[in-house]
Amino acid sequence: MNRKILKYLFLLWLPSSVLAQKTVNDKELQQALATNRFYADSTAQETFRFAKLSSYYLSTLMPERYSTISLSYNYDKGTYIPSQGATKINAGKLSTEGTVKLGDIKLFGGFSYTKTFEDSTRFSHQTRNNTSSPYYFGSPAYVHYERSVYRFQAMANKNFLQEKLSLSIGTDYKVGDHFSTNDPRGSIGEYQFNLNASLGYKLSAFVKLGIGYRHGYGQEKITIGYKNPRYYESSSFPMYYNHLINGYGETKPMLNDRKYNDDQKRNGLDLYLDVNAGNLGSFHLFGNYIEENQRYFFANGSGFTDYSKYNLKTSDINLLWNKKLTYGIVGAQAQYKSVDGADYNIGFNANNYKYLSRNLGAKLFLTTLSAKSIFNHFIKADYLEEERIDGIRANDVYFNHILLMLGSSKRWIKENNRYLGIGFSAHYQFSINDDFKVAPANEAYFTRYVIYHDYLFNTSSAAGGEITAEYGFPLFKMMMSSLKLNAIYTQKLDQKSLSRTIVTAPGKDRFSSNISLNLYF
Amino acid sequence: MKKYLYLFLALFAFASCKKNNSTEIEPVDLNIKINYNLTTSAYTLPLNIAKLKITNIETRTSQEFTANDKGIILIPKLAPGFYDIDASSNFSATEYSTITGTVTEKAVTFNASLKNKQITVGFSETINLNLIAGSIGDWVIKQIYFAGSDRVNGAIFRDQFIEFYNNSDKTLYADSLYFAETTGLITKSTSGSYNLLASGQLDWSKSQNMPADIDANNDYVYARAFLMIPGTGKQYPVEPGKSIVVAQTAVNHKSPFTGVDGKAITVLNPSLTVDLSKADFEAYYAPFLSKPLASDIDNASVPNLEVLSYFGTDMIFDNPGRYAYVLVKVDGTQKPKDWPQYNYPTKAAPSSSAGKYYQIPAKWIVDAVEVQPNEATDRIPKKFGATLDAGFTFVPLGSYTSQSVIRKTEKTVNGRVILKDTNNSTEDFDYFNVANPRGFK
Repeated sequence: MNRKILKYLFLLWLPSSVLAQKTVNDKELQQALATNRFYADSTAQETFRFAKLSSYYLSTLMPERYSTISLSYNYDKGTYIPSQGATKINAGKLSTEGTVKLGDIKLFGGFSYTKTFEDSTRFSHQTRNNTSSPYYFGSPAYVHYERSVYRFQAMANKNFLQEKLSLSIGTDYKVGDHFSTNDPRGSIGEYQFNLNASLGYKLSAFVKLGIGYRHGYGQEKITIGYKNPRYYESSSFPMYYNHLINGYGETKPMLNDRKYNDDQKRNGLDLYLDVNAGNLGSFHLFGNYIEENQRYFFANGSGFTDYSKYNLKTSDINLLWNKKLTYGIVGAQAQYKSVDGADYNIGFNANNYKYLSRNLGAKLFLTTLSAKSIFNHFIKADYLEEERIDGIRANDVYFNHILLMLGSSKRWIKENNRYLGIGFSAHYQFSINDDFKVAPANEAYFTRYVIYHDYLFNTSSAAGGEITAEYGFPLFKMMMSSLKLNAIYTQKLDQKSLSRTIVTAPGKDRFSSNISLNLYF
Repeated sequence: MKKYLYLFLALFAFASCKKNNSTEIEPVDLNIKINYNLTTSAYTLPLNIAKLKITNIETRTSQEFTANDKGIILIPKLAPGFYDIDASSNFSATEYSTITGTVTEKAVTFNASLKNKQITVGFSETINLNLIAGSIGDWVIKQIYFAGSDRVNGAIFRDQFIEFYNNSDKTLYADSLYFAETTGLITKSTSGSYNLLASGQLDWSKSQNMPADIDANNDYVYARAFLMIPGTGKQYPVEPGKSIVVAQTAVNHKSPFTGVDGKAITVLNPSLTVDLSKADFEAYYAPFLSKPLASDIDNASVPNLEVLSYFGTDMIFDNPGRYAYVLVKVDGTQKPKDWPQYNYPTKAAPSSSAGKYYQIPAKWIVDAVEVQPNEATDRIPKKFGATLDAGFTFVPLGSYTSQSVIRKTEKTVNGRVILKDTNNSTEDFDYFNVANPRGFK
């Protein structure tokens, strides 16, 4: 099944991404420069990111033609991280994406391969895509994780009825392999497939309405193995034995049955509204609702054993506004996202765990363009609240925090299409409210290593900055290339005190860096 | 511009309102009532000294409480799950003598326990615990090495031993001291074949030919192996604070020795096993077997146990720890060899060749220790009531790990070590990482 999907996606991806690169002609360099400019324009990038939310926007918000390949290396270090994060990350990524128009059909294709090495991560044999899950394995001892993830994206669009009616389809397929190299040795295989189809209709030259449908499914397959049999033969090594987390509270030893599957199915509905308000600019409103059902079970020759069920309801509303100015573009983006998760605990035949999160964000950005330079400025505010409730253990932990960011960048355009860019930004995060209800009587490993740590991390305040430098130049007179460096530093400012047994707490800072070689066609 | 700002703030305020969310499952408030199980109404014992410990079997978190004057304990917001509940009241000899008028020289401990109790969602019953004073004897079981040592690098099961200790202040004689490995329901998956009590243990009253006028479950235990220390009556004195070690095979298991088949028996890692060449007694089963166990050699310098009944090819204790151990001392009126034997209380009638097990009266038991597997999920219903052993003990690492259970030292008086004996092995026992004959902890 996986191979069939892989083949299908590859064929879909091929014409847009690869053929786009094959069909370069004498105007290659001009096309490469346009693509490069597209990536330099943060307003265009915001629009592009917004457009990738759905194939619905392929015809209107994505460039007619562009292609890029990027090879990047990421290095993160520092202990100002959530409890289940990694103290050090080394990651390499190869990615390519592009659009092309073949006749009346516009295509988008994207591919990425990411290899990640995570040092010192604990209590989370997970893929990192399903972090609200109530049911997973973990241990307090640090493990080293390696992850390989391949992702294929494809979109296609065709317009009908004098371009009044647009039909779009998009697929997103991901396959990954995650494993830890020391005891306890988690091994997680995953695949995810998502499909979206949308129909848009222009009511007038100014207003377009759309509706879309989403369907997806996937699986995570988890197995925990050991080199040292002592760690699973008894529960005398709690740092190493396999803990089962089922909810948001204390674990139980799962020494023997150390495998399960998490099958996921999701369906959703999209609504779209686009308004071209003339002098006021253009507005794009996109809302969707997705309901996902996860089933945690184990299957063998004698049948199925169900362990847990989890239902996730996600509502997402995105608004994009941009307006062309004489000297550039101004825009804004706002987002509201809510996630409501609830489990069905098989042992108690009732709901025990709830996960609730709300995210509200707004960003204002301005790009000014001239022959010699490009300026980008932005200001951003993000509000996040999250609550995890475990009924049988009477745990209820709530926090919210606000992240404020502002930044600017400038690109100096030199002779022969060379350029130099530098950018700065600053961020500040603080919490305004929290609620902490955790019964001390239930305090053991998970409470000490995860709940306390995360509460301290999520309610702390922090500030930091980011610096970006980029040098770009033409390559072989047919493409643009750039070398980009990026570094982010975040320092913890303040942390709450908690009168509990604290065995681990967030560290003082976190450093992230990235270097990439980018080719634009 | 202001109105957009207000709109944003309104949205922000909406988002920041914390919603009141609850789940379908909530913790329970657990009520426990403690009483003394006294045979007389001539006196009453204070309830507000009773201590209670409740341990979640899965998370191993525990909480401790003290009863009020009425013996009531309320445990608020207890997470549903499986729990071990242990209660005890301790009286010094003086206190007990003063209250009861019964002169005693030893502290008296009353115990009650409820093991593997499931507290369900919405549990509203009151749990009643009856504190019972067990027999505190001069002889105690000090150490049991049932786990054995590593199957590849150690001696497997052949280095097992049990140690008995004179916990009194006078010389005792080991002559005619009996001990037994007692049986019951051992494998939960076979429970459907037996008549069971509400606790899940065997209902021995349903055994074939069991007299109807006795309390077969509470007044007796049933032996898989029943052995006796020989002697003429005063042949084997044991001084106060001294012990006797009874070995499966009394050799130095750290060193190679020659088995009865003429082949060398060795261990790869001597540090995992023990030297039992100085044991006081050993079990020797070869005379009963057509094909004796190769390792069961007869050390001529160590007296052999008298075997009343046996199981297997040597005194091989169950490595996971699913059986229990009793020490028995009888007076001249008793002939244990003649005590009756009964079949397991199977639902189907036992065959004529089905095994029978000695019925040992609890009144002759001077000490009892229940052991259990190390993992909660592998544990079986308790075999002993609070009069024999209110709790159980186990080796944390489980089978073939060299670990033994060892009775804790309570105090030392004039150089004599007095071992802890509250009749609750959960409280009285610790463990050695490597079994240590005659060692203390």
